[in-house]
Amino acid sequence: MDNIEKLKELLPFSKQLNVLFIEDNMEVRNQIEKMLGNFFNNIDLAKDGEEGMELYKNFQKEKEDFYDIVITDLSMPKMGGIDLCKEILGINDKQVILVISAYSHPENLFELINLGITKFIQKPIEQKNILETIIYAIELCKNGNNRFE
Amino acid sequence: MKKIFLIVFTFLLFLSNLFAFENKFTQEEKDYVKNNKIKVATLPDFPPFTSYKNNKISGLSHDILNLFSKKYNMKFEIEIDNWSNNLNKFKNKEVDVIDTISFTENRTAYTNYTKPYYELPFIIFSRKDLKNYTDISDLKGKKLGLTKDIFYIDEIKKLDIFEIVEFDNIPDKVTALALEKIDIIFGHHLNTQKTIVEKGYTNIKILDELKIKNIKKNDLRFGIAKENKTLYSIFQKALNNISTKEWNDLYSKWITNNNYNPSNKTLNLTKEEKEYIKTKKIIKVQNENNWPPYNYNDKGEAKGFSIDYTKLLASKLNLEVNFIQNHSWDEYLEMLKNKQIDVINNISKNKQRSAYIDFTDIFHTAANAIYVKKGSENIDSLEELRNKTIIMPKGFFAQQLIEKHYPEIKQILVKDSLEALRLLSLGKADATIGKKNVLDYIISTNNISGVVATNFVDDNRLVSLIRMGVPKGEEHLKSILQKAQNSVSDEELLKLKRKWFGGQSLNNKKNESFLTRKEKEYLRKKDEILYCINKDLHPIEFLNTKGEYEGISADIIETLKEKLNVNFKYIFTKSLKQSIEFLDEKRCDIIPAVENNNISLKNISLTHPYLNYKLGIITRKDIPVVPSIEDIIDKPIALKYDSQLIKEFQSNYPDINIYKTKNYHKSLEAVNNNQAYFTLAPLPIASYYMAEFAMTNLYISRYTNISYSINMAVRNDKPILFEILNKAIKDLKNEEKREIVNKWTSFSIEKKFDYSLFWKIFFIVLIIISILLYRQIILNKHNKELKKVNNEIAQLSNTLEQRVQEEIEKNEVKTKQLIQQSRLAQMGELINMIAHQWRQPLTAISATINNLSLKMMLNKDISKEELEKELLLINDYAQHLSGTIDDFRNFYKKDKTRQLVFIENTIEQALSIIKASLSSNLIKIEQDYRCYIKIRTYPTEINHVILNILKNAEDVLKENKIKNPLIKVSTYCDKNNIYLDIANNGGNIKQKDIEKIFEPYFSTKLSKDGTGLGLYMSKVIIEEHCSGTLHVENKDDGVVFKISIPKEQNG
Repeated sequence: MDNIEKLKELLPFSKQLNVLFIEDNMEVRNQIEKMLGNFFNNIDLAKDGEEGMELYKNFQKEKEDFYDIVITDLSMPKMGGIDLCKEILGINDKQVILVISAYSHPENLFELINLGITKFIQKPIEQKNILETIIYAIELCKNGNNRFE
Repeated sequence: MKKIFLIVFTFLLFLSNLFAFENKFTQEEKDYVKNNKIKVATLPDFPPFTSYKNNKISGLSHDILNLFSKKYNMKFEIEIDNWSNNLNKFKNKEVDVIDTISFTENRTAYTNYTKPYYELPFIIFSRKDLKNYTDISDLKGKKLGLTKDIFYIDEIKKLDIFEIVEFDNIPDKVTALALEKIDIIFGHHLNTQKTIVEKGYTNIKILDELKIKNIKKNDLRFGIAKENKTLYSIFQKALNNISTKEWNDLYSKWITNNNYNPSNKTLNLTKEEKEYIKTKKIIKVQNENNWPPYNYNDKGEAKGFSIDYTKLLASKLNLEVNFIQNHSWDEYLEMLKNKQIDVINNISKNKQRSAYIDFTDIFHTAANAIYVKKGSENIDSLEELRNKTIIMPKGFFAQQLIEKHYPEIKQILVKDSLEALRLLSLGKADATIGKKNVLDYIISTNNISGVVATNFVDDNRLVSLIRMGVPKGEEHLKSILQKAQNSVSDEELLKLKRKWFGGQSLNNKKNESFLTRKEKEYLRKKDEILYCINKDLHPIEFLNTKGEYEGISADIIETLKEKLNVNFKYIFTKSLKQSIEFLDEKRCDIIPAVENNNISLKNISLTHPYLNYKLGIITRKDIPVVPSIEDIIDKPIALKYDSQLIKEFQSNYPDINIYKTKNYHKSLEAVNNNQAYFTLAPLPIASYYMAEFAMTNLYISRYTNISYSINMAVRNDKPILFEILNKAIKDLKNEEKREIVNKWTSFSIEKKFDYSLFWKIFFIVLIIISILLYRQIILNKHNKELKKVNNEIAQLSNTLEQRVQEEIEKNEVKTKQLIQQSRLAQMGELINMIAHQWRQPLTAISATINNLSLKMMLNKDISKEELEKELLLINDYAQHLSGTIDDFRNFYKKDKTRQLVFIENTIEQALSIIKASLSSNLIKIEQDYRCYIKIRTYPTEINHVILNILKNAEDVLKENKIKNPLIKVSTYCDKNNIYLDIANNGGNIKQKDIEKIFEPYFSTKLSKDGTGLGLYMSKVIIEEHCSGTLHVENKDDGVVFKISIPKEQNG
């Protein structure tokens, strides 16, 4: 089954998921948000790690729940992606986190893997890569990798 | 002046004789001297009596006072002032004594005069252009300069013949005369004269002695205050007690040495004499044709000693001279008799002449000498001339005297001395007699050859006593000439004599005093002494290249010849042996040079040696110094075949190996050629040959005790001759011998018999030579080493040069490589920056494309507007990417020319490149621009530099993991420069590193990215290319790079 058919099947599920997307570059944030709009309907945007963390905590407070998927950049002012991930995973160790970054340094990748980052999306975004990753993340949520399940 | 001095001196002698006994001071006087300081007023400018110069008083009267102090302990306080002030002080009793005062009646009221210590005449001085003066009446109406308050001023005023101008001092008075402001001055002889000389005026002359009633010679005395009778008595006694010797010393110190121009002595002419001169004006004097150097005619000009002397007298008399020429001596005598001429200026007195001539005193004496043809030198007296013929100028004094007193001498009479000498040289007579000066002069100026003077004439009557002659009865003429003659100073006379007779002194006195009469008689009878000579004994005696006899002995004989006034004649022999044979055969009288060690002969007596040496041992230089002759007697010795030493050595050392040679030269040569080990020779001979034949290998190793002397050998049957020669040789002065020996040897012998000095010198020289040799050896050694080292150094420096060159080349390669590396690194950095720059737009593009692509895949409707919007966005991102590419391309583009830019724009460009990188590293950039002035510079290059600094800041901020990393860029400017500071908070640079940070290949970066060239090149760019400065400093928690660029750049 190709990814598009899989996605088509998952879309009713994915459209209900709550997503937090953190990206400092406005252009990139806007364009990726548009792209993510094909998968998700509820996307919260943050422009740096701090803001992302604030939204994450607020969501937890208000909804007494966690975002289903957190998608974040790594190099950001105020709070970098890694610190953000650490904190989120500190709150919810089963949080599905997708890192979308130009970071290609292997040591960073290892750190991310060790942290328990779900998937890594390389900038600039490749269609196959983004489809697979997003599907993987949606399936994770659907298949009970969620701690609520 | 001398005369004046003599008069004064006689006067004083008279005084001192009169007071021959010592004047003793009374007790009262003694007490006065003891208790009082005597104040004396004296003049500063009255030499030679008192003179004040350089804070010192000197002069005759001052010395008199000094003498008083010395003898009687008198104490003086000297006050120096001009005459008027002195006189006032004296009048007002401010001083006790006034010095250099002259007696006048009117001062007796307040003055007690001592006896004069000096008297000098008053002189009338005028300029030289003042003519026709006979007495003071000729000076009527003239402007007369007088010193103010001079004692005789009233007397002069009474005369009422002058226009009187008064002067403060003598120099002013003299100057006024010289500058023609006044016509005459009166003054003391000495000090006026001195002033004239000091001022250098040449247009002033002494006109006359001032003789006015009541004005006598200037008597110089001490004036003592009238009422101070004790002091007066003290002065009088003290003056009287000055001894003749003391006066003598005082005068010789102050007066005779101050004889400035004695020629201007006054002549003391009588009125009649002055009258005579006034009317006479010109005197006619004979000028002979040919009697130099006394009186001769040189192409119409009168010249000679007598001529100059006549001119001198005439100038003193204010007369002109007209020289009458072209007559013979006899004619001149006739003319004088007839008063056709006034004066004959060089004439001897005799009875005959006295009949019609009046003579002045003798002014010159000239001796007559006998001149003969060369070879007839034995004719040296009038006695020898008996029955011989002399040739004489007719009428000359000598001619007449000889005619009268020596009738047996035949005479040929000629016109003048020149003719006489010429005919003598042609052999027309045996001799001529004439004044030495005259004949020598003629001989030298007329190239007369073969004529020599043998002796002065031995008759005192023939010494010419030369005077001036005037016609009998011309008394005034005679007296004025006499007075003029009297006024001629010795100096003037000497000057003339030097001019005309200088260097012609023939004081060839024979000194036969050491001979007995018998011996003199022997010499007189002896025609010539025959001597046998050996031609091969350099430098004692030998034949020169012209075949003439020369050498030390030859010169000794020459000296003896002069001493004994006897002729020597030489006969050559082949050898000493032949000479001895000749002596035996009575073919010669003496052998002048016999070596003492060569003689073992009967029938021969040896004189005292005239040369005396020790024989030297001569070896080659490479042979060590010989300790004594015994030490080398076994070695071959070279000796002259006839040496007396051969026998001696053979008897003492039977085994001796003697190499016999012909002469000293051959002996020395034998040693030089190693045929013999040594030879013996006296210093002069050895040194002669060694120098002459350049036998530089030889040296005098040591002196023996064997003496070597040169004597004369005389036949035993000539005892008188032997005595004469012996005495003559003994009479030779050491300096005479020394001079001769020095002439012939290259060695200079200080004292002939003083071997100790020679030894001293020899050893000192030896020591010096040894030291020099040693030094030379050491030097040579050192030089060799030095040379070696120099070569090495040269080689080394060559290699070094090569190496340096190689290193430079290597370095260049390395530098090129490094630069290349640095470029690559920079490119890497840039690419990294590009990656950062591009990643976001590319992400945006990719996101957009994926968005649209997903929509299509999910079959979603994409509205036209949405699609357009998204495509435009993609285009924007592409444009941005393109712009970024341009930025980088510009970065690599080199500025060919300067451009007018805002530095801030350049900064922004750099920032735009690195911004993405910086922001991805969360580095904050602060910009603080305060200048905004366009400058003309190379923006790209500055861009590189800024980027480099920013990149370094980024690296350091990253590396040190700085929280809140910050880069702050600021600009500001002043009158001349724009400043650009790039600061970061990445921590300070270590002090040791900050100094090196701009050095090439210095890097603090951990990663291998750092080439160490970035900042080095930045500095080069800013400082060398942009004429700015770049430096770094630590500030707060970071560093600041400071760039300054001049607003106006030259070039």
